[in-house]
Amino acid sequence: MAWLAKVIVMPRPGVLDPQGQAVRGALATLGYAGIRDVRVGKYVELRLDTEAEAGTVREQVEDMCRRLLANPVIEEFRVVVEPDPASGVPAAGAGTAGAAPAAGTGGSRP
Amino acid sequence: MRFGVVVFPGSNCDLDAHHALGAVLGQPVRYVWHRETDLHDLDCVILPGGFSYGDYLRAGAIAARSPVMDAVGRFAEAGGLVIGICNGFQILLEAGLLPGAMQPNADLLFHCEFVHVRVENPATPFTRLCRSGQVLRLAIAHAEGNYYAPPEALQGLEERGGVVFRYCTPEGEVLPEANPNGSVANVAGVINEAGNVLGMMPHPERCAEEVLGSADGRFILESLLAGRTGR
Repeated sequence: MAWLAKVIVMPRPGVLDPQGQAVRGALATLGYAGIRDVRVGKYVELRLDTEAEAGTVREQVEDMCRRLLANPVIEEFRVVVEPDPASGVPAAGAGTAGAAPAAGTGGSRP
Repeated sequence: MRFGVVVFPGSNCDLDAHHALGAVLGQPVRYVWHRETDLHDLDCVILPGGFSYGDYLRAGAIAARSPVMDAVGRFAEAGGLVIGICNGFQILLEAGLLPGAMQPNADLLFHCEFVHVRVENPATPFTRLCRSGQVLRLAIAHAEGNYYAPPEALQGLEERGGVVFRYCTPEGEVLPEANPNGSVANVAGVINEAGNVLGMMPHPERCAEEVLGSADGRFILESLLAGRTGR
């Protein structure tokens, strides 16, 4: 079964984000008003081949986040797992994975 | 003292470290390829500066998961001396051998310049030859030197004397204007609880000869020679 895992890594709340601040300033320079805050993170896509269920795939990817993809001191992560549309499998909807933002937010406070 | 300079793909201050230790200080020194796992012939391991793995994902993140880092962890656990310089400091943080994390410099600029640091803790193998409060003029070259530790971790670090160097004015005053990257509490270098693993953003190995603009780095490098920890 072909899975697509989508990982979003964001700076933890309360951690200074110099990149976000720089982008916010640049948007203001471009004339956009009313932007209260900008935080810049990373988006990672993983395509996996495994017979495991969606829940197991999610756990595996969350493990990858804890071990490499996110730095728990300054980052938190969200994981979404769905059948890989590129592999010809019908998109989520009836599937167990779902495309809604998940409860798998990682990075509990140290 | 037998030194090993670890080389990761993208390290670029390995030659400087080798030169400072071997040619300038006359010490036995060899390179350690990042896939090696046998460090038994060494007394001190250097993780040099550079852009290991292009700083991909996070600076030092991928290097920290190299095979050699397991060996460095065991080496440190057995009491061996480890010094991480710049990217090496980032790698030690990512490997969990030192507390905290690095963020982009507050002004988002790459700072390549001389700075001054104050020796906060002269009772380490890396600062034995220094006085408390001594000011060293050292070179920095980094875009991610903004050291961060969560408040509790920082408090613990401060209380046990874990902050070894702080950015300061030439007169030794720890002020915000002397901080090139926004690091919390002007932290420039920290040491682990056991006192044998040091991480610092400035480059002592690039400041070991007057012709390069400062030889103050020798205070740190020669401190290592002044006495071995029990190993």
